[in-house]
Amino acid sequence: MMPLHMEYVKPGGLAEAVSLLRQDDACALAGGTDVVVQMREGKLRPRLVVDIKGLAELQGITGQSGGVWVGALVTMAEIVKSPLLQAYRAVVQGAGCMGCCEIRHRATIGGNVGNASPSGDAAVPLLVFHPQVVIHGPGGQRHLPLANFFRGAGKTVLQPGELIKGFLLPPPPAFSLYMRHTRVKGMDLAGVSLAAAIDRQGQVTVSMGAVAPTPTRFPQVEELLSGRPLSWEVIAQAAEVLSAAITPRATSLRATPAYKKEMAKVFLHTALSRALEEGFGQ
Amino acid sequence: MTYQTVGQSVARLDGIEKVTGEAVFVDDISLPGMLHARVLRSQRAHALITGLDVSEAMAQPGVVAVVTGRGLPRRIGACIQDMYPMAVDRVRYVGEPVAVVVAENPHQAHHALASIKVSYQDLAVVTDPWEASRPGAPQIHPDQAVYHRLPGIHPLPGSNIFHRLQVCRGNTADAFREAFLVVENRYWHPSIYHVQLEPHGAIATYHQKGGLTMYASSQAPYVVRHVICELLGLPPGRVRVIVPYVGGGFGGKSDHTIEPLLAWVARHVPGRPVKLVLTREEMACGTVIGRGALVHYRSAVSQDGMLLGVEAEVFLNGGGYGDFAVNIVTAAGISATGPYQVPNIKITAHGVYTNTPPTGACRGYGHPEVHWACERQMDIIAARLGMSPVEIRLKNALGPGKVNAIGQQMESHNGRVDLCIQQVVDALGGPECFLPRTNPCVGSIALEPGGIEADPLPHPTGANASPKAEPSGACAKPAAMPGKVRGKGIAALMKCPIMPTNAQSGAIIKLEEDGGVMVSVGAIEMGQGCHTVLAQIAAEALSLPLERVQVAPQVDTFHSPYEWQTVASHTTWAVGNAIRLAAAQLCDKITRAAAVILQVPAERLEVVGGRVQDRERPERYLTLQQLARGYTDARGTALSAPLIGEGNFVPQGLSHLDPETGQGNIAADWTFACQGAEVEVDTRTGEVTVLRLVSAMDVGKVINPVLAEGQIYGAAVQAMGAAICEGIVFDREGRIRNPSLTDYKVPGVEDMPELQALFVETPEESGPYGARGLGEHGAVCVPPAIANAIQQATGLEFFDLPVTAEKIIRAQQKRGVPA
Ligand SMILES: Cc1cc2nc3c(=O)[nH]c(=O)nc-3n(C[C@H](O)[C@H](O)[C@H](O)COP(=O)(O)OP(=O)(O)OC[C@H]3O[C@@H](n4cnc5c(N)ncnc54)[C@H](O)[C@@H]3O)c2cc1C
Repeated sequence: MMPLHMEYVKPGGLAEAVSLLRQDDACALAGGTDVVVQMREGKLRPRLVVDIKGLAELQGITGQSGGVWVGALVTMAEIVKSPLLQAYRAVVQGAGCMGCCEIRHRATIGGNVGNASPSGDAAVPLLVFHPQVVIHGPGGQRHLPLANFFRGAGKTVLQPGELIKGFLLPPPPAFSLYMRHTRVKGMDLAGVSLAAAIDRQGQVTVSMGAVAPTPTRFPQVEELLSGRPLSWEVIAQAAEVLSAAITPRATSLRATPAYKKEMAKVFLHTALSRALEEGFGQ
Repeated sequence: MTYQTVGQSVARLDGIEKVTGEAVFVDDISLPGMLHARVLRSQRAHALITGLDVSEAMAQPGVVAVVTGRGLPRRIGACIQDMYPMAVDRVRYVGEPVAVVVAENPHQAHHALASIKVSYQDLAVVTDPWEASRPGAPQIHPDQAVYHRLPGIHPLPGSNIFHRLQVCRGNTADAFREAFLVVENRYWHPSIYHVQLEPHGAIATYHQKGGLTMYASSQAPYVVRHVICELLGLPPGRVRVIVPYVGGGFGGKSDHTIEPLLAWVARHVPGRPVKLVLTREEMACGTVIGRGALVHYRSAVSQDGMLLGVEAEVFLNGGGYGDFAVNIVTAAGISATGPYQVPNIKITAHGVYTNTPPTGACRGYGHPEVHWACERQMDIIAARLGMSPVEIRLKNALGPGKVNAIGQQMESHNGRVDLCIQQVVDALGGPECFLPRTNPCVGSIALEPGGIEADPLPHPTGANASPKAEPSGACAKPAAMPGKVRGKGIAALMKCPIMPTNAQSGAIIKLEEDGGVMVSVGAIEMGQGCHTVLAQIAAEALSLPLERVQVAPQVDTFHSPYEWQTVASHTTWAVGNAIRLAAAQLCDKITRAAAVILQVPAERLEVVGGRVQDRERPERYLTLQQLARGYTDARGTALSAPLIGEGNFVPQGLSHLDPETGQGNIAADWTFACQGAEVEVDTRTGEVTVLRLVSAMDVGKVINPVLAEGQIYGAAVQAMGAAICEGIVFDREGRIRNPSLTDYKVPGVEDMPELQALFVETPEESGPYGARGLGEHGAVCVPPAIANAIQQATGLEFFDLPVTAEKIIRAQQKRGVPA
C-alpha cells in the first residue's frame, strides 16, 4: 500500500531536480521498477518523489573519444538495441536478461546502479568496462569509477541532491561475457552472476553479483589471469581463488553459499573457455 | 456414436469477454456506500493473545469499525468445527486474522492497522507435519477432543493428529517376509501455493433487516452460504452468495477462505457493503496452501517385479486448522498405491495440525503427494531389479477385473492405464528408451530413508545414462550439448473425485422466446472452460446448434440450482449429467405441449434442430420459437405455457469407508493416465530443462478437445513448477520467507516444454456421453516423471521436491562426479 502523505513532482530541468532532491526524504524516480515496489512493501517511505524521467541531460547513448556515453535514463531495451553498445557485450547480455520485456522497457541503467542491489544485472557487467559515473549535484559535477560508487547493499556515495547523470565507458575490451544463475528461465533475480572482460593487452577483469553486499570486482583473480596466455591450469587456479574469495551470506533464498562458490568456478571457467574459443586470451 | 456438438473444439463462450477485459470479476464491482477492509494478521505462529487494544485505530481518519474475534458465537467447519473466522484468544499460524479495520477507503484501513496493539504470549512452534505428529510436540489444539466433527473422522486425542485413515488389505507381514526385494524410502512434497491470477476477494453487505449478500471469488458458493448461515444463525433464504467470473481456483477457492471472516466483519456495519481483496502476499498466508506431505513408503516385490505388498505412512500438513484437509488425508490414503493392484496393503494417512496456514484443496487433492512417492518408488524398484520402468508398470497395472486399494473391482468402462502408458512410451520414442538399468540387485535391501542423502545408484555408463540404449530409430534425439545429459521418465496415475457420498448437482434449462435456451448451473466458470463444455452437452442433448445455448455466467444462490462445489474434476461429469436430465425433462415437456397443438401423441414427437416434429410425418412440426412465445390458436387461445426443464444428479451407490479397513465404495469413477518427461540436465550448473511433457489420459469421451488439452497442459506445467522450482519456505518461527513471486518461482513462458496431450477414450458408463473428469489429473504425476527422467539422465535419485539445480550439484558432489 502506498504512503498516505506523499508528494510527486516532475521537475522541468536538472537544476530544479537537484534542489528538490536536497529536501528531506526526497527520492528520485526513474522507471520506478524498484522505487514503486519498495514503496508498496513499506521499505521506502519518501515524502517527496522527484520524477526525473523528463531530464534531457540524462538521456541518450553517444560515442565519445573512442568510448561511449550512456545516460542514466537509458533503458534496458535501448541498451539491447544500441549499435554502439554491442561491443560491450556483457552489459547487453545483462540488460537483455533483466526482468521481462515490459520491465526492460521501463528499467533504467541509472536506476539499476542507483538501487545498488548486490545482483543488479546491469551493474555487475558494467563494472568490467571500468566506467566513470558522472554525478550531478548541488556542488556541480563530479566523476567517480563505478567500482567506488557502491557503499553496501542499497547504499551509494550519492549525497542529498545528487543524481547520476550517466556513465562514461572507455573504449570497449576485446571480449566480454555475462552469465547468471536463476531458479527459472522465466523472470527471476540472479542467484549468482559473473562478468568477465579481456582487453587487447590481455588485461582480464572479473566481477560477480550476489556474492557480496555490492557488485564486486576481484583484483586477485584479475592479476592471476592478466598479461599471460590463459592455460587450463591458470584458469583452474583462478577459479579456486575466486571461489575462496567470496563469502556469500547464508540466508539467501536464491542460492546457498556452497552453490555460489561452485558456480564462481563454473562461470569463470565457462567465460574464459568462451574467450579462448573466440580467439582471445592466448 | 456420432455427435453434433460434443467432441468439437468449439471456441470458449467467455473468450471475447475475457481477452477484451469486459468480463467482470469481484474486484471490478463497486457498490454505493462501499467500505474497505484490511486485515491485521498475526506475526506469531503460535501464541496466546494476552491483549488487544483497538481504540487508537478506531480514532484514525476514515475508520468506521475495527472488528475482532471477541463475541464470535461459534467455531465453524464442514468436517471438523475447529476454527473461528478470526482469532479469538489464540493464534496458530503467521497470517491468522487478529483484527480487521473497516474504513472509507483502503488506504485509511491499511494505515490504521499500525495503531492496533496486540500482545502475545508465545508458544512453541512446529511447522513440520512429521515432527508435529510425535509425542511431546507442541499441542496446537489442546481441546480438539471436544470439537464437533462428522462421523468417519478419527482424531488421536492428546496429539496433533486430527484425522487418521487406515487402508488395510491382506497381510503385509507375510508379503514382506516372502518378498525378493524390499525398497523403503521417505518422500517429501513441500507446501505450495496455487498462484491464481485473481486474488481472493469478496464484498459483503449485512442487511439492516437481517440477512447478508455477498459477492465472492469462490468455487463453492453453496458451502460459503452454509458456513455463513451457521456462523450468523441465518436461514439459507436470507443469505445470498453471488459469484461472478473467477480468475483461477485450483482448489484454493473451494470450501471457504475469507468469506466467513468478511461476513463477520459486515455484521458490524449493517447496511454498508464491505470489500476485501487480498494482496498476493496475503494470499500466501491468509487463505489455504496446498500439499505439504511426508510419505514413508515400503514396497515388497517379487523377483519378477510383481508388487506383493505396500506399507505406507502419510503425514499430511493440516496447518493451523484441519477442516479443509480431512478429505485430502482420505484421498492420499486411498490412492497411495497408485494405479496398481497390490494384494497386501497397510496404509495409514495422518492429518496433522502444525503452525502453518491451513492446507486446503489443491489441484490433485492428495494424489500428487502420494504419487510422488509411489511413482518414484516404481522406478527405483525397476532399477534394483534390472527391469524396465515400463514393464514393471504394465505388469502391475489395474484394469478390468483387478481390485484397487479400497476393494473396488475395476470394470471395463473404468478406463485403461495400460494403454495410457503405451501411448506415452511411444510418444517419447518407444520402449527402447526405457531399457532396464544395468544394476540388478540380489536379495533384499533396504535403502537409507529419504532425502538426497540417500545412497545414489551407482552410475552405470558414465556421464550419460546408457547411451547404448539409444541406438537409432524413433528414439534417437539430437545429441545434448557437452556437459549436458538427457533422460526420459514416465509415471502413471489413478485419480477419483473425492466427494461426499451425496454431492449434489442441479441444472435448469429455460426455453427462451427465440427457441434458444438459457442454462443455469451452480458450477463456477473459473477459467477451466466448464460453461463452454456444459453448453455443448446441453446443445447435444437438445439437438440445438451451440449458438442457441447460453449458460448464465454468474452463479447466484438465489437463482442457480444447487451445486456441492466446483471441485474434484467432477463438473463435466456431474453437472453434465444434471444437464442431460434437465434436457430430457424439457424435451418431454416440449413434446407434451406440442402434442396438444399438433394433435399427435407425444410419443411420436421428437425435438430435432430447433423443432418439435412428428417422427412419421416430419412435415408436421412446430418451431421451438412458436412454442416458447406462448402458442395461440386461430381464436387467440393460448395452448402453451413457459417451458423449463430441471435436472438433478447425485452419484449413485457410494458409501463410507469402513473405519477399520478403509474398504468401501467411496469413489464414483476413476481417471487413469500416464505422464512422461524428457529432460536435459546441465551437469556443471545442475540446471534442469524440461524439454517435453507428454500426458496420455483415459478421459472417456472428450467433449471439447482443445479445452481438454488446455486443462492437461495447464495442470502439467503447474506440476512442473512443483517438480523443479516451487515450495514454500518457513523459517523456525513459522514465518513464510517467500510470500511473493519474487522468491516463490513459478515457471514462466521461457520454461515451457513441448507439451503433448493424448487421449484414450474408454466411454464412462456413468458420465455424460461417456465423459469423465480430467481437470486435476495432469498435475498428479509430473514431478515423479521429471525426477525419473533426471534419474535416467544422471543416475541421481531424488526424494525431496523440488529437484533444484542446487540439489543436483550437491548430489553430484556427494557422489564424487566432477562438475
Ligand atoms: C518484475 C521485476 C523484475 C525485475 N527483474 C530484475 C532483474 O532481472 N535484474 C535486475 O537487476 N533487476 C531487476 N528488477 C529491478 C529493477 O527493474 C532494476 O533495478 C531497474 O534497473 C531499476 O531501474 P528504474 O529506472 O526502474 O529505477 P527506479 O525504481 O526508478 O529507481 C531505483 C533506485 O535508483 C534511484 N535512481 C534512479 N535513477 C537515478 C539517477 N539517475 N540518479 C540517482 N539515483 C537514481 C532511485 O531513487 C531508486 O533508489 C526487477 C524489477 C521488477 C519489478
